[in-house]
Amino acid sequence: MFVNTLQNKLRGPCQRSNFHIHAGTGPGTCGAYAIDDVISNYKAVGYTCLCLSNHNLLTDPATFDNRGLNMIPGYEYTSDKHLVCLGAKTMAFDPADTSDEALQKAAETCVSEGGFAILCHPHWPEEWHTGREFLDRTFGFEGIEVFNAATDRDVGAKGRTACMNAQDYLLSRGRLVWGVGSDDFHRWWHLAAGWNMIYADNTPEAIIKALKAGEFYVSSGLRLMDLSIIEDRLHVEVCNPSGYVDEYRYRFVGRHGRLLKTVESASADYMLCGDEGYVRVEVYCPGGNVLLTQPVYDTEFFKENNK
Amino acid sequence: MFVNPYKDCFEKKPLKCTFHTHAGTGPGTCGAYGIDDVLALYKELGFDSLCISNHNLYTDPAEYEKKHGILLFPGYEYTKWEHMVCLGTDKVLVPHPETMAPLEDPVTPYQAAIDGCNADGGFPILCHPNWPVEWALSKGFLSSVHRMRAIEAHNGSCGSNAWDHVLSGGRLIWGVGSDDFHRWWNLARSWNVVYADRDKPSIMAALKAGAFYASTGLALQGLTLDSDKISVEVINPNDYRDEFNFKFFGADGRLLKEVNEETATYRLKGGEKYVRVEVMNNAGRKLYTQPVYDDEYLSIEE
Repeated sequence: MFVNTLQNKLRGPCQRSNFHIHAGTGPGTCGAYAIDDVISNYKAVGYTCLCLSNHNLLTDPATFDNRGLNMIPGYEYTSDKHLVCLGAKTMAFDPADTSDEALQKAAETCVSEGGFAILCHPHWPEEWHTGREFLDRTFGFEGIEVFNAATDRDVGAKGRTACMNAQDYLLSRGRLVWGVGSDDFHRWWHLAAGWNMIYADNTPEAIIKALKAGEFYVSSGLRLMDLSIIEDRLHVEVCNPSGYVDEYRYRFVGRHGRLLKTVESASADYMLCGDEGYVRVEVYCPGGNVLLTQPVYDTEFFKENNK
Repeated sequence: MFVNPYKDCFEKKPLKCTFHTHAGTGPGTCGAYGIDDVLALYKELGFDSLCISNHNLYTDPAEYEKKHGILLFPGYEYTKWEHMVCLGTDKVLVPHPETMAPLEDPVTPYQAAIDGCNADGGFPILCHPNWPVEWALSKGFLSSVHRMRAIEAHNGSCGSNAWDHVLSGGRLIWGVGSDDFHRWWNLARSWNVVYADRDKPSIMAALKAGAFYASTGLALQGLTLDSDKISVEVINPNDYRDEFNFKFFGADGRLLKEVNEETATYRLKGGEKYVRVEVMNNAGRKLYTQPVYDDEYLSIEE
């Protein structure tokens, strides 16, 4: 049976969120600007929920003015690979330990404290840096960045912003991991370029609960109007928040990243055959704004394959 | 005969340029930050040339050019009902608000600003055709104004519908990418790659000849016209391989061909008037080429 995490969920409150922000100018922050400047700008552009995720540095939201935004504590575990530990309460690891086990332990600690661990930018600083073998042997994270807007923006950057193929790799092996959008904010040109729309009340607990349930989507400028399964028909409709009518390119993607169907229209349908394992949708507007849904997934496929 | 504006371009070093920037915090600037702060970031991001184009306000760029080592064109944004970047001029030709009744004849003063910019050797760029609403630059308005040299193909969103409308009427104008920078979240989202020597006369000549393309993150490696075959090669500047979505558009914005590959070709069938290409990767990064055009049908309006 296919499960759609957003079935009948789109009418509730929705929070625009980014959990990967470096801010503050003290040691370890890797930030270039004061926390208050960064939060003020995110607020001005319409965000409601953020996490300051400095490198191996837990920033307590009680220590700065949240400007009315929901600030979830967290940090970015930073070794050879990176991991945003959203909702983490402690950092119990040796930063010099670059082993995969150390990252997994950080993820497990975060989750045991009620948090949500997000594997970062699998294609930075080079393609498949966080490679398939690493993904095969490392567990504990529940999210992976499918869109990291900063990794291709700096001069000389060698990263890839779109990382949906890494999520496909995990999903195809029966590991239900949710796709996350991030700015990976360091500098102003990273601001508000990739985010999450989360269907939840705006408290840390409700946001993390919704993330764990996959009740969100990733966007760089499009809004989800409908994602529903009626009998075997998967229906998707997006809109341009600027209000004008666009023709969108919908790509339905299945196991191993296989392209199942492309539709160029205002909305799109896909008839589920039953053997897909999962189907996720990428949507592109003519201006290049993107929307990435979570997979609708076959519970049997994930039960059989996730040994 | 079909003309390829990119012929001989690829021997030149590509320059990164943006011409629609609001900066400075004084009256009329519509800027939110100091000019030095804004220019320093554009410089850091590798921009070679820029124009501070404040609303109906000329900003003398001389001292900033020297300070930041970035080529600064004079200019302003004509801002009444419709907007236009008047690039390469220091004369602001905007009617005083008290001399014009609201909604009275938007065309005449706009045309005077276009002609004034051209007379100064400049390059008038029609702005954001789909802002604040779709077709904000209406078909009627676009047909009534003349001798503009370019239109924003990308300003936050896609403006190719208005561009196609002008091209389809036989008037050759070029597509420009703009940040329309006001706030940090507008910074370095779309720009122009201009094939020119690194000086302002050379850049201006290249703009007028269509020797540039608009980008939001992709790089053009080649665009050739060999007999009746157009070949387009695009790369992701960060070195990794991508499959791109190529769309070849013709008159009236008709989609002539779509290709999902690393490179793409289009064979002219005759009667196309023009063919331009939009390319997108799977992160939504884009590139807009100028049209390869039939010079019997399309020309720059004198």
